[in-house]
Amino acid sequence: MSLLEVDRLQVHLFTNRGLVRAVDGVSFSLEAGRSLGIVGESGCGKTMTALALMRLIPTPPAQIVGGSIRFDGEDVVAMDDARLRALRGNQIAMIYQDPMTTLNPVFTVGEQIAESVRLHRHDGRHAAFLRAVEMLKLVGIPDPDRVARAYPHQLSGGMRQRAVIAMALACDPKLLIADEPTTALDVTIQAQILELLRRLRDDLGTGIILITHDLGVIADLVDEVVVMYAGKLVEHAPVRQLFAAPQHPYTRGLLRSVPSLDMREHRLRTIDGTVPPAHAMPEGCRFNPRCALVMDVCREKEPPLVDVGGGTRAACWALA
Amino acid sequence: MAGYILRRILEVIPTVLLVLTLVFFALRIMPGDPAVAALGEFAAPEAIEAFRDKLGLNKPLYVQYFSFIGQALTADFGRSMNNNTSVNALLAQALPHTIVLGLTATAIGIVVGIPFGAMTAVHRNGKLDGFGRIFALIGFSLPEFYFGVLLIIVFSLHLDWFPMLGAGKGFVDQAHHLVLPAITLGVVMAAFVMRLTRSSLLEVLRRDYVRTARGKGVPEHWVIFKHALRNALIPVTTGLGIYLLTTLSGTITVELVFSRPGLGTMLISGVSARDYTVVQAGLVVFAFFVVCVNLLTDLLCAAIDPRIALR
Ligand SMILES: Nc1ncnc2c1ncn2[C@@H]1O[C@H](COP(=O)(O)OP(=O)(O)O)[C@@H](O)[C@H]1O
Ligand code: SF4
Ligand SMILES: [Mg+2]
Repeated sequence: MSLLEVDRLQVHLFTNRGLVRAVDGVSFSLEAGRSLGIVGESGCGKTMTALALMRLIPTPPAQIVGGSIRFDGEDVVAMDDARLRALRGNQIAMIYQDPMTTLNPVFTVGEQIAESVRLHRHDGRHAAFLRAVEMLKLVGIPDPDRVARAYPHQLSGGMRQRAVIAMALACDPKLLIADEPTTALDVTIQAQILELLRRLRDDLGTGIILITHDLGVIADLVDEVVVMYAGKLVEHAPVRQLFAAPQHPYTRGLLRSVPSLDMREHRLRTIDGTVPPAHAMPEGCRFNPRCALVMDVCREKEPPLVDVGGGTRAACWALA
Repeated sequence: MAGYILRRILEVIPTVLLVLTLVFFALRIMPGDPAVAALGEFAAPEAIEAFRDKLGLNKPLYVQYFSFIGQALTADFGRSMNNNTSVNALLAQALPHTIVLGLTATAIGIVVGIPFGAMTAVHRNGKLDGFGRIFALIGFSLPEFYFGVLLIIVFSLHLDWFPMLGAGKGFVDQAHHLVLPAITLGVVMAAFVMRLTRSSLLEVLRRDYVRTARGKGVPEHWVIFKHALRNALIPVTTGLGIYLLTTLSGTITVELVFSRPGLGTMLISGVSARDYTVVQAGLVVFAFFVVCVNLLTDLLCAAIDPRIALR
């Protein structure tokens, strides 16, 4: 049994301007202690997928309308509130995109970390606070005692993100979901946070889902990659395979736009066009207006997700 | 925090001096003469002159001004120009009634307004929220005197549950007399606090850190009453502070409607008698309230929000 099994997950948003199929039939699974990357441009449904795993999607407007999520064999979609609370912050924890808004401004960092320890381990106030200090130390904060007593606004963005990571790890979760944990940080801090995640992955054996719009970030951080486009899973492959032999035209486009490590080659190309707005989704393959290989069938029928060899699944008529 | 408190108290001093000055000159500009008011229209000019001398009204304005400032700062307001009783004694009689009324009304405003507002935010567009909307509409549109009179008609005249006028004697009787005036002021305040809490909480509930709390497995009522409400209370506190200042006039209205002794009643009778010393003292005390409420609001905000004191 896998740690996490997501099967044909559908998250729809019922907005004033119409229905948004933010996540439309996404399936993947994750074994305990393994790591998975979810990549795709902004607006492709990565955050909605991540939030759905903890049932944290904003309701209204969002709702899980189909599919299933099994965590440790348990059905998350059907879970009652008490069971869900016992899961959140304890078995599954999340690191969010913007550390500036993730922490509550009126409580100290230590209190906020200690809160989940008190909730899930039923530790006393003091023991929980000590645990918070210990976690801050673990994530590489040099002065954990002082930082635990500080309020979020007294810390830099990088420090806050470390604190958020400490909070997520406080109860030894089996699954850690990191939603673009470095996007809001400047470049040097980004590298430090990624290094921290790498170390934690090796030391703690936690399952990790790392979400990013930047393929360059995940090459040596995850075991497999799911590529999402406009709410659809378009390619799922082991990470080496994905970099060595990307199959889907969208994945290839994404890979071409990764800045090469030796900065001599400066041709940073992006895929032409943008993700279509929800109310103007093209028929057939959602990528067809931007695809160089587009065929007639692409404009009529959605391509099925099929095994294309090398451990890769992809949804493209050119591969089917 | 201690430094912040000290700074805020020091900042208050110029405001206080400005208010005292305004009070003094506003009274001198007001038409009418305390001597004429005390002795009557047809008193002999010599008698009026003698009376003015005795009250110190013939001294140069700046001498009167500084002696007034001295009085205000030492909280000794001299004697009533009208009947020679000590103004401090008048204040000692009036103030407790006004303070008790104000505090009770504020307590009603907070105790009803905040939980009610929080619940209407949580159950937005539900039945309770609809009821809250109507309650707020009534609270906002009814002037205090009208609401007070309405309460008197229903609960004093018709039902005879509560006494109509005055402040009563002894604790139980006084509490009995306090009910209707406090409700008059308190209900209107509760309507205001409720709407403010609602909108502020709705705004906060959309914040990322609320999702973070849920993501930690915090039970929903804690998410609301610990994580969200504490943040939502910052604008509520500021708003309530401003409201309390504007509602001082409401206190005067209510004292008049219910014929309660108090600062308002004292001020109004002082004004009609052109009793400078009484009016000055009353206004100084009102100004003192304003300053206190302001200071208290700021300190409360600083206690709720650590970012304020550390700026
Ligand atoms: N609160 C919301 N209201 C309406 N639409 C939303 C909301 N949040 C997200 N969306 C839409 O849902 C889709 C997926 O968003 P998201 O999961 O945040 O994408 P990603 O994380 O990949 O950038 C987007 O089209 C976005 O516009
Ligand atoms: S299905 Fe057609 S349009 Fe879509 S990616 Fe494949 S080739 Fe391009
Ligand atoms: Mg996102």
